[in-house]
Amino acid sequence: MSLSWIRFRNRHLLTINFSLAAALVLYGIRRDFAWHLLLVVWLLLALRFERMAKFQQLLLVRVGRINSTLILTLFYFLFFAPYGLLYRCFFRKPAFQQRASTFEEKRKIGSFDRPF
Amino acid sequence: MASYLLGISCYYHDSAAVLLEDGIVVGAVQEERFTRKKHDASFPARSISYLLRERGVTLREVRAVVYYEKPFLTFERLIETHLEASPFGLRSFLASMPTWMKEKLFLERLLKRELAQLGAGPVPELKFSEHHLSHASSAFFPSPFADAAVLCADGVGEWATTSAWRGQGADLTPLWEIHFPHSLGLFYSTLTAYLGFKVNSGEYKVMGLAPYGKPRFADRMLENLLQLNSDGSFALNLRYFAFTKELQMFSPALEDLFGRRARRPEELLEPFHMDVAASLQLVLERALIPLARELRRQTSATRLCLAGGVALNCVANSKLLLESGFEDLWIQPSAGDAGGALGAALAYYHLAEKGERRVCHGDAQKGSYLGPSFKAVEIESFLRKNNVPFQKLTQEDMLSETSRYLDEGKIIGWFQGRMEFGPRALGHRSILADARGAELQKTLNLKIKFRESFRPFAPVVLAEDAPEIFEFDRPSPYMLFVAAVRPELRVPLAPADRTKFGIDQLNVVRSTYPAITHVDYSARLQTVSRDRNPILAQLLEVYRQRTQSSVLVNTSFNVRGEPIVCTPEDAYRCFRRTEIDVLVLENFIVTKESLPPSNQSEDWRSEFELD
Amino acid sequence: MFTHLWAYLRERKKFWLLPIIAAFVVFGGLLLVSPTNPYSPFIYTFF
Repeated sequence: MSLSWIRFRNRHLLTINFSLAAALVLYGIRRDFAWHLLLVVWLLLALRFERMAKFQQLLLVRVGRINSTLILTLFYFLFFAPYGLLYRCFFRKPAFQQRASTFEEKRKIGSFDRPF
Repeated sequence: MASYLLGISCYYHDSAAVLLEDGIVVGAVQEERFTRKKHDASFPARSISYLLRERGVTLREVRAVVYYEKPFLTFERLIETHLEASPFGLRSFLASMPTWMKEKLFLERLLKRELAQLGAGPVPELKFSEHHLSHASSAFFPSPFADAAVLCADGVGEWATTSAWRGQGADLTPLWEIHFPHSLGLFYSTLTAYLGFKVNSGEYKVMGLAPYGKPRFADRMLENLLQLNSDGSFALNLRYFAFTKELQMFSPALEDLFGRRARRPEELLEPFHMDVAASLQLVLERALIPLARELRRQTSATRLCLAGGVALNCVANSKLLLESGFEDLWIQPSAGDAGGALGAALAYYHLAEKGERRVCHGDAQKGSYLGPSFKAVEIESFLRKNNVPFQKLTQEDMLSETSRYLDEGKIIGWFQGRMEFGPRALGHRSILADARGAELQKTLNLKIKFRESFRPFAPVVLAEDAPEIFEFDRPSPYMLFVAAVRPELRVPLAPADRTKFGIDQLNVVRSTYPAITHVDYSARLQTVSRDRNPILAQLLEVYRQRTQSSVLVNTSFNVRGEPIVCTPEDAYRCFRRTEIDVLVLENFIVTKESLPPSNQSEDWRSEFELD
Repeated sequence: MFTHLWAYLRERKKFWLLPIIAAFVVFGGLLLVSPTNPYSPFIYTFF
């Protein structure tokens, strides 16, 4: 990979991709190109001024965080919580249940070679 | 010939790195001391660099890097805990999952990348030790016992919160565990949070608060919060604890149980809080002692080793010594997660590589002086570069001058040799002062530590003198036991003082060493002997020649909120920011009076988060 | 990482975790795309 590509990628690729994606979304919403001029202006500014590109990155981080929260929340209620019912019925850890003793026998140590 | 092993702990609390050479620990240090961020949990890059540099080796000579925990098992615990708690606990789920999915599941890759970035040679093989195995190994292998039982108790590792082991020679066999959520560490931490202190740093303070109160809630706690089973095991009543579901330690039901809402951090401490602390301490002991007794019954071992965060509770340790039925006790000085780095490396060496173990008389911890030391030329160069007026003396003169200053009631910033590994300062990075002064506790609190005044200071004393002053019959080199001041040295309370309670009790002189005597006459003892700590022992001997006493106050050399000082620069900065009178850096002495007036702002206090 | 996951499931005999881990992988894959990754806008536009 050439150095100039790496530099280009780090500095501009996100901007270009962002504009492309935004263009697609805008078209999808509006079904026309009325607002795309604004997008072109944004693209040019971000390509020209590093501060603009940084702001764009921060914006995406923000969006990313909101996105993650939404995705995880959906995942939690759609998959995880129902699975929790299954867990509590069939696979529940003894430690979470009422017992007369909480001692758990342990006779050997696992291998050092793996993270489990 | 790759004869080194590197143990590391990081990404949870207290990252640290330890270097073993042919199975012997040659260096151990916590990352916080370098980064100056207390309890720093980030990858211990600077610690590792220091260890390699100090030994003059690169990663090429390191056979393996051993991580102190098994992340996949911890992930399993998290998933199952969330499954159990669902559909509640979304916030906790959202808080933990992203970090796990982005980093911790890819720990192997992350660690290798960090090691590669050190630029210290090719990355060695990566190994993983279990969390409690790391604790047990740090407790047993450096101990002076060839045969012992081992008990570890902490917040939680992967699943185990409490574990028992049998150590014999170079072998360590697991016996049983108690699993999350039933945890003595989390129990203590929850009540610590309820009392308004910060979790993971406030527990030690709560232990210091307990003697002010009466354990009138102990029964209530045992009936509702912590159930003691007939076989010695225990269980938490999850109704009162929220840490399995939420980002909060206790549930509202706990506040209802005590009939009072939780204390906010800067609120005044009242007798109620002291009574909760006293009850908590008693309940902890009531849970620990049966566990130890059960272990004694199972193994017939006569000696016990302890590790895990709960083992830092020196009041409980002393109770264990008296009541567990074991003849002797050894506790890993770095009993928390930082010590896991030491344990991980030792576990791999002895258990995976079948490395031999040479049991040392005393122990193999080397006084826990395992960190950086600084040569005279480095110190002199630092002092000259900063235009600090100093005296360069012979060791003999330095000792004599220091003991004179101590006798005059001056406060000494004492910096010698290799830095300690573990949370306590043991005489290499310590603030020392005369323990006989009545006002000293208050002065040290206000002018040096800028901290809450209820916390007592700890004494350091020559081992040979200790039995005359304290009711303790054996060495306590790591400040992990408490002992009562002997009755003949206690000062009877005047009738007016007897009715005082709470913090007012602090200022009452109750022994010939008021600065280190707690309200119940106990002291967190450190005994010093020439074989473990030659320089401090010599200072105490010289001081004793002068004053007929070898007891000094030993508190850690740092300001509140800051980790213990590491370098001469850290020491000098602390010296400037506080009212320490004399700074002793190896054989160099700097006095406050000789310095030009400080032009530093007083805003350093906002630099460090209050703990 | 996936070989580890499979070996882990076999070792711990917790195959019932498989469906939930699979769901994690699918959803997690979306999260793993760091916002600073130049291709992230295309992922985000789908959600």
